[in-house]
This record gives sequence, C-alpha cells and structure tokens, in this order.
Amino acid sequence: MLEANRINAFYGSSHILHGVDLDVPVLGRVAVIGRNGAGKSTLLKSIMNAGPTVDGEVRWEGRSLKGLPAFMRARLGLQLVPEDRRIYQHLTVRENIRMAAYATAPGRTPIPAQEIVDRFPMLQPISERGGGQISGGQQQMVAIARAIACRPRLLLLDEPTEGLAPAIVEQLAISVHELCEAEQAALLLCEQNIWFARQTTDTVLVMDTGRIAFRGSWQEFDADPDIKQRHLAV
Amino acid sequence: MFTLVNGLTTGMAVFLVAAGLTLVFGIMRILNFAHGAFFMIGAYVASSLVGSAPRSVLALVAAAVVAALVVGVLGIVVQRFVLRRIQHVDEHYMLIATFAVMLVCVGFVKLVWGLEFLSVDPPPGIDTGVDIFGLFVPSFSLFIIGSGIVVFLVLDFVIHRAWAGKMITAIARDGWMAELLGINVPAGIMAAVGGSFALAGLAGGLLLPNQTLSPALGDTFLLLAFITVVIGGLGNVRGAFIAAILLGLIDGLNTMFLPAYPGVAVYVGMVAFLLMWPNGILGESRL
Repeated sequence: MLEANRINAFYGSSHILHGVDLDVPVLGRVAVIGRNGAGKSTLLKSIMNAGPTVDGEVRWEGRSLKGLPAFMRARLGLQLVPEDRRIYQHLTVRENIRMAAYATAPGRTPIPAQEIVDRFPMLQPISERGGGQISGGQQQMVAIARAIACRPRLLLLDEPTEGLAPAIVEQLAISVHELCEAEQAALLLCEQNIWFARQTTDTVLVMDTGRIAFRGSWQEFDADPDIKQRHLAV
Repeated sequence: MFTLVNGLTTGMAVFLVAAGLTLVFGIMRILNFAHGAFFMIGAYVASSLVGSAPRSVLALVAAAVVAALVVGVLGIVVQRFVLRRIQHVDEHYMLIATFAVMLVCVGFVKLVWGLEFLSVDPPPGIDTGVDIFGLFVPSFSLFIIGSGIVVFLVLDFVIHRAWAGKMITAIARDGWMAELLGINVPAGIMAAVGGSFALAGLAGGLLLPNQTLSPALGDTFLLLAFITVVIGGLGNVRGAFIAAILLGLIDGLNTMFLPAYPGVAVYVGMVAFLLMWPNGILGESRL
C-alpha cells in the first residue's frame, strides 16, 4: 500500500535519512525502532511531506505522491499522530476530534465526534474540556482518537508512549490494536518502547543513524541479540 | 459628555481600521504597513460609487460593502504575490515589502483619482444631529460608533464561536498540525487575509463622509491604528477594541484640556500603557 524507495531527507544542510526503503502492505503492522535521533520521526514526516526536504520516491497504492502537500496526503488516508500530540488548546476535546473531518478521503464519511467519544471510555468525562486542561495520557488518547475520526487507511504513530505511565502504556497498546482492527487500518509505528511495539506490530525495522539496519519479524529480531546490542543499546 | 461622544467616535473609527491590521498580524505574523493604503483605496472606491453626496444611508453602506469586496480581492492578490513569500523571512523584509506595497497603492490612487482633495457629505438621515440629554450630537458620530460596535461583535463571534473562526485560529496557532488534519492551510490563510483586507475597505467606505480624501489619507489612520494594535496586544481583536476606545477617550480629553497640543496625549498614553503592559492590555495572540 505504501512504498518508499531510497528516501533521502534533509533539514537544511544536515542529511538525516540515507536511502531508506520501506514497504507497508495493506493492513500491515510495521514498527520502526531505534535510538533517539536515529531519524524515525523524520521518516514519518518525509512520508507526509511535512517538514524535511525529501529526495526519493513515496508511492501510495501504486501512485507517486511527488509534490503533493501534506493536507492532500492526509486526504488520501494517511494520518500522522506527532510525538508532541499537538492538541489544540483553544478547542475542546470534541472540537479537536471534529477538526480532523477534513482529512476524510473522498467517498468515505468521517466518524461523528460523538461516536468517537463513545468508543473511548477515557474521553467521555473530558469531551467538553479544553485541549489544554487534560493530562499527557489523555492528550495522547485524544490525538489518536482525532486521527481515527477521519477513517485513515494508514495510521502513522510517532512515539505514542513517550512520557506515559506504564499502566497507561498497557491500555494504549490494547486500544491501538483494537482500533486498527476495527477500522481496517494499516499501522506504521515509531517507538523506543520495544514492549509496546511488539504488542501492536508484526514486522520490525531497526533504524540507526538514518539507515535501516535490520528488517524482519519479531522472531527474527529475537533470534539475533546482536542487533539489540549494536543498534539499540544506549 | 461631548468629549465622551467625540472620543468614542474617534475610537470606533480607529478600531474599524485597526481590526484588519491586527487580524493580518494574528494570522501571518506580518505587520502590514500597506494597511492604511488599502483603507484609503476603499474610501476612494466608495466615493466613486456614491459621488460627493450619497443619496441614503443604505447607499453609503452598500458602497462600503462593494469597497470591502474590491479591497478583499486586492488583499488576496497581495497575499499571493507578496505576503506569502515573506512570511518566513526576517522582519526587515516584511517592513520593506509592505512599505513598497504601500507606495504602489498610493501611486495607484494618484493615477486613478488624481491629487485633488475630494470630500463627501454624510447621506440624508445621518447628516444632522440628535438631542441627547440636551446635548447636540452629530448623528454621523452615532453611525460610526454603531458601525464600530457591530463590526466588533460580528468579528468576535466569528473568531471565537463560529466553526470557520476556530479553524482559522487552528491554522494560525499550529498550521503544521492543521495540514496533517487535511485542512487546506494555504487556502484558509488566503481567505482570512482577504477578509482582513476587506475590513480595511469596509472601514474606508463607512468612514468616508466628513473626510478629506487625499492620497495621504492612509497615513493619518495607519499611525493611530498601529498604536491601537500595539496597545491592545498584537493579533488580539478584543484588545484592539478596548485600546481603540481608550485612545479615543484620551484624544477627546486632550482636545478639551490641551487644545493647543493636539494628539500629544495619545503618545503619552501609548508610552504609559506599554510601560504597564509591554505585551498589550490583553496580551499578544495568534488570533
């Protein structure tokens, strides 16, 4: 469904990604893990054309996305949840969710904000609260709920567990898994939390200094302890 | 009482000009030096429509609306070819570029309408005065005060209550996220900036009577509008409304107590306000 061929990404003169190849099949669940600064976020932003200067080809359902601005990519069904969540503080939780309706692909209808709130038990008590008056864990749930509201085909999650308490991380893993199943959405996840990545995906890519150092199933990942040692140990 | 009415009239007139200026800043972080020039173009466009003696209040308002549309379209052109290019560069470029736009506008006005002074009378219905508690108040003053309040209430509703305003605010505060949510950010900015310029054109049309139209008209209002915007808090429409009233009242008192030094108190007031609230009375705002 999503293919990226030899992606090179730059911020100004710094070269962040070096010839990255990536493939997310229909309903695929792919994790990209790696240390801080390995280029995981840049990869997601490159796919969305939201920030870095990108050289290389990104294809969506066989069609090149070259030159397409981020909002057009969002309307094709790609939804990125950024690691800093970016909940609008001047809007209530419900309004934040409603704001995503513009990203609904042609021929699909967005999920009404009320239905989303009903589906996330955590959001019910806070749906009328301002975006600045909720906790970090709640913000992450709102960010994911907002992304789901436009019925994306591919969900790109950037470090969803960052800064969350372990109990919340467990809850989040269940929610993300269920949502992707219910909405028939593929998942491309960037994480440092290997436990969370393992719960939610079946394929894993290890990224180190802007290059893909390993790709395979979680079994293959476990079979080679050297990978962890070389590319993930701090 | 007379001072109060006069001050409010000045204040609301300035607010009408300042509203668009503060909105452009709130949306694009650009201080638009050409705003006064677009106000002036609005006034000239309206004067061409109504002549020197408008037939009715309705004709004047209709001319102001047409002026707003014309200036709004000009605003979209300026946004497309000038403002958009300078949004992410150094502030000096913004000042130079918008100053250049202002020069072009003034030259355009001189070419089309010439250098002579034009004047327009208030239309019948608001060309006399009314008696309020034994005080003679020009009804055109009441028209301006009313217009200012209506424009403020409509703007405040659109920005804080209407969905379109919430969306524009979302774009102004975090355009990057708005794009990821599928919002056509360049189109949204263009519409909002067009609307802000339209406000300048509307102000030009509404304030047309009792003005002497000359190619220097823009400067007079621009300066007061800038002071209003700074005192109220850059990008903050509510702040601009409050600041415009305060400035108008200060100017009114100035005329009453220091008639030999017109305008001095406004600057003293600006210094005082900025010492107390360096970021403006209601603070800087991205809308």
